[in-house]
Amino acid sequence: MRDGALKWSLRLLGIALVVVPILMALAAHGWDVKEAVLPSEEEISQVTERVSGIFGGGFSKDTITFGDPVVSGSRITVLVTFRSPLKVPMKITDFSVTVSDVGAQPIQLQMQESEVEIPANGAATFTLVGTVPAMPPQNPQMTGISCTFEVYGVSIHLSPEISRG
Amino acid sequence: MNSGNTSSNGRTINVVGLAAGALMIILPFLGPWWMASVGTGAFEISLSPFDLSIMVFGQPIHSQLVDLLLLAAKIAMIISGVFLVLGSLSPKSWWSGRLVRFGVMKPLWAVIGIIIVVVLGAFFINNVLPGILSNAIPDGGASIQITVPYLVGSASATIQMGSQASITAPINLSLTPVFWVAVVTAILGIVARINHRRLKKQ
Repeated sequence: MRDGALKWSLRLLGIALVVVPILMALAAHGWDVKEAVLPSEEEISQVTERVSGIFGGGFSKDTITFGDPVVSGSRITVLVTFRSPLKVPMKITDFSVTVSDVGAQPIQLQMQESEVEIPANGAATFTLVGTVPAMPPQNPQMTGISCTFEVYGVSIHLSPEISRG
Repeated sequence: MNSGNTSSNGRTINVVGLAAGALMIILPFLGPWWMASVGTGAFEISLSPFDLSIMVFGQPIHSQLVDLLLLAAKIAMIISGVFLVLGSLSPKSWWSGRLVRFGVMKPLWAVIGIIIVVVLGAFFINNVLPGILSNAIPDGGASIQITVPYLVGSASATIQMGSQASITAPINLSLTPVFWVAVVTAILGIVARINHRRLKKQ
């Protein structure tokens, strides 16, 4: 008798520990299963805000400013100012630009620094270096740009198309 | 095997059961058993049978149902530990068998459960998620490659959006020392159950 009572008490306790939380969660959300299971709309909107806040207004033509090229022998250097539109710190790990002209060999300019850290909404300068070919382009135009940066340890590589003309 | 089943005053106790019970009582307070991170703080999950913490860019997200079920699992583990201690202190009493059996296997099921959840999660991420994300990104130009280890290890996920952009995220998965405390607790629980049966027959 007493063993049976203990047996059923323990069984009911085991069942209650599963059923009661489910009923409590459902009751707290007006018996709406979706609301009880999924994160609240407030939390989702906070995550969305955080993500959109990170990327701010996005990249624009004001983000990157190229200085005047300095040619010394066969070496060319260009100072670049990068104004981060991101609301979190970022790290540029690779940046390169291709300059070319019709009939001329393209010039590849590569970031000299191994990495450049930029604070949230801040700016930083770095140097692009390259080698001028024997026959330099007469009407040089930027035909390619490639940038790799890290945000929250996630690496983002962009190589946008550049419209000619 | 004696397993130290007699106390100094000559009373029979299940020492292994006492150790397992004590570990079961403290186990819910030791922290996560398994952790996963994407990048450095972009996405973090800390998981145990008693807690689930999900952070997206430092912003926590919760499910109330999951939180309450995990709280119930925490309470169940503590109650089971207390019952195991009581049953182990008096293994020959009529009620000890029921109390010991109530939760002595819970740590083992918790360990097996967490492994199943993590492996199923990795299977979903590797096989189902890329398809969902590819369809969610407009223009259909996205190629998504995610290879997540099935329990522990490092990998990277790559989302290629046409030829103009790609995102590469390092993924790290690890079991914490608390998981191994849980494994020890599970083993002690099994031994405690066998020991209890043996003491009852004496």
